[in-house]
Amino acid sequence: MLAEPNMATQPATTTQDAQANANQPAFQREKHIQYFKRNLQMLPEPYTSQDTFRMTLGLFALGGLELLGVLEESISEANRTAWIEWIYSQQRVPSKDSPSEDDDALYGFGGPSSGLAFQENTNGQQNLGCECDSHTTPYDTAHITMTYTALLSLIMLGDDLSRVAKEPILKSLRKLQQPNGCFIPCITDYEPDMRFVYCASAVSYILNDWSGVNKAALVNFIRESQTYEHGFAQSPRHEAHGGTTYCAIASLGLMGGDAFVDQRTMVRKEGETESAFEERRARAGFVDLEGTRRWCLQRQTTGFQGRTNKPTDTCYSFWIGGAIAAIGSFDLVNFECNRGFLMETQHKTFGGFGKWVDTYPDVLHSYMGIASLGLMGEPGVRPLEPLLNISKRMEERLYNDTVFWKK
Amino acid sequence: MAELDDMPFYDKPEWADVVPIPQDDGPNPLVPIAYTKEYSTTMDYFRAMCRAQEKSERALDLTKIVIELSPSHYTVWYYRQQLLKELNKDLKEELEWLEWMVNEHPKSYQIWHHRQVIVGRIAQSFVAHTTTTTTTPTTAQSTEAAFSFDDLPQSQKTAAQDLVNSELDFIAESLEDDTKNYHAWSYRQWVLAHFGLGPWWVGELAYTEELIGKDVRNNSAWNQRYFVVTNSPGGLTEEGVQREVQFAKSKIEQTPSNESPWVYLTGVLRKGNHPVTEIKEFCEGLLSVPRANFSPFVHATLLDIYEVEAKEQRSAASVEKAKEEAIMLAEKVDSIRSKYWNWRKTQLQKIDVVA
Repeated sequence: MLAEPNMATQPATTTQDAQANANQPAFQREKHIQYFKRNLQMLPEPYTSQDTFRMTLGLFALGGLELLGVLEESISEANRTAWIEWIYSQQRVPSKDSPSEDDDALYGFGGPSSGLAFQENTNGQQNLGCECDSHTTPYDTAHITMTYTALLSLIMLGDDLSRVAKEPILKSLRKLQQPNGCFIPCITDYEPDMRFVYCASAVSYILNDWSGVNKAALVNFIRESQTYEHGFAQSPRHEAHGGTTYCAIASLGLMGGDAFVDQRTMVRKEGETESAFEERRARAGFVDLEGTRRWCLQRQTTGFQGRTNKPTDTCYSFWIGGAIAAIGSFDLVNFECNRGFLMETQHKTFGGFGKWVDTYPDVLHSYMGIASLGLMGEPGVRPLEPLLNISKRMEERLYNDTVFWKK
Repeated sequence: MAELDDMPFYDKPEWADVVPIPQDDGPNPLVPIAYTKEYSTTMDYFRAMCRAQEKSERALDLTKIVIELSPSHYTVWYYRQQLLKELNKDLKEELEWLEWMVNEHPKSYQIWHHRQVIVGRIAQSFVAHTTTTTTTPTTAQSTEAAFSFDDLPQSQKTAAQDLVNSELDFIAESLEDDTKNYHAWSYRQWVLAHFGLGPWWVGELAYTEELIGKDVRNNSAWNQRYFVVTNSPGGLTEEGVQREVQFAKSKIEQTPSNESPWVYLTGVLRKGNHPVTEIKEFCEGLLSVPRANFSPFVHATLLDIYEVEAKEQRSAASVEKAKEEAIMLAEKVDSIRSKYWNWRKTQLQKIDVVA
């Protein structure tokens, strides 16, 4: 279970907060519900450029309605079961007859555009996804971001994950991890970076099995990516950035234990040898946790910026806000200013949130805006679990109702 | 690929033999996208090419069309990379097309990464017979040198220099449009480091100075400067520390409320194993400078300094000075973070002091 101190949030219960909120533009909750419902039904043509990443867009639409507390009532039973089937149809699994080690990197969930046939439940045989066989090509590969978002989407839709092929996914993670600890997302894209470190961590956590990941190497990569500013970059020596800071911290939080410790403040325990102490230090994810807290909090100007001296953007209210929540310091955020900024980036006509004021909304920024409100205890928004970026209600469902966790 | 008429490629006779593979999205898909007919038909043909793993000019042309419709498609770039190799295409031409693409989609991860793959391949071709361990062009490890510049024969040194210089020029041009483009900067770091400790490092410090001169708030340029001083030949010497401290201080005096030089200054001091207390006089001096005395960073740094002194000397007087800074920050100069500065104040209470 994720430890309580990592999820410190503070509901807006004081009279002062309520008064401050009353002076801001209203939270357009109904408009956002309609926005997500429309996008769930059909995404407009401009989303074509994100076609292979449709699974992520599905999660934002489902997740948005779930955070607003209306998911179950917004989806018919027919749609709920059909969409679960659609998600499982994106799963790449080993061939039953002749599974090949060569295909290890391909397993997990992918984009829907490779031309693999849609699998149906037939003759009492359940749809487990597409089997990789001699006709499978690298272009059929799964993608780590889609695996992560598929698992969460299945949970949202009330599925128990019993058809998820865990061992093949863990095999693919082993293939995707690089010698320096980082992850590439799939074998057709050799771009290792912190985003996929988070996806690997989230997948491992949801599957309740870290055997697909070399944790020591992962923690080392994360630690090396902490910059002189104390935020975390995409890779070592790059610039500290809000999105990758969230990915780094949330990964450490999901790993828990020694990973979520500050190297600088560690002291040798009574009776601990020097080498044992060094080994323990090596498992610490932070070089300077206090510095990280400071860097994250310093990003707030009204809402949050993603890097020093850059403009604010709705999504950093979650990326930075979530990182701050993960280290147990969300009570130090200026709620009034953050909320005020978010109220301004709501789109007055279409609902949803854009990245800036007077900008068209998109499902990612809309989800992130609401997620940040969920951290602040906004009425009408479910409280958010920051390490997985889902509601606490969905987190409970993971533990109680899915096969990898429930007793 | 210049179209002489408006006929889509899939209506042309040279594609007549291909059996397009439609997307099979099932009866009720999650978040269907309202594709145009042009897009879905193009993808039907692309799926057929992928299924057959066809290696041909027309397949190469098709990857370009797909990329231009969907630059974030996660398998098309790989297919293109395989085709370029198989068909032995001119990689310099590919770089020219990428220059155009980067202007169209400056924030596309894939376009920048593809450039890195292509440049990596060009480099491989002219140092094919060195004994240095090289990473394959498809693995992307930031700042891991694939070559030892000094070990290259002279002709290859020249080729390496030319390639690096032209890439640095290309990145600099791209940065003129967006001086903080994250992809451009991370690619720049890769270019500098991939070819080892060559002469191109010499000009990079001056490049960061030029960009900081144009925009002293460009944090990406400051981050690059830190990268250069800590990674260039010889690493960060004591002389380098002093030089960088002076540089940062001069920029702070110019813009005292600009976060970038402050965090750079304390970062360099730490890297050079100098305590932050060394800049106490500098910070206290700024308190009597009209614009600077309201800089949150002057007061935050003094808070840090007095806190360190309080702990080291167990001094109640230092605790008091630190508290005053925390109050100044919470109430006057950085009130948006009042909760944080008040929390810092309560932390000061815990310091063990002798009266």
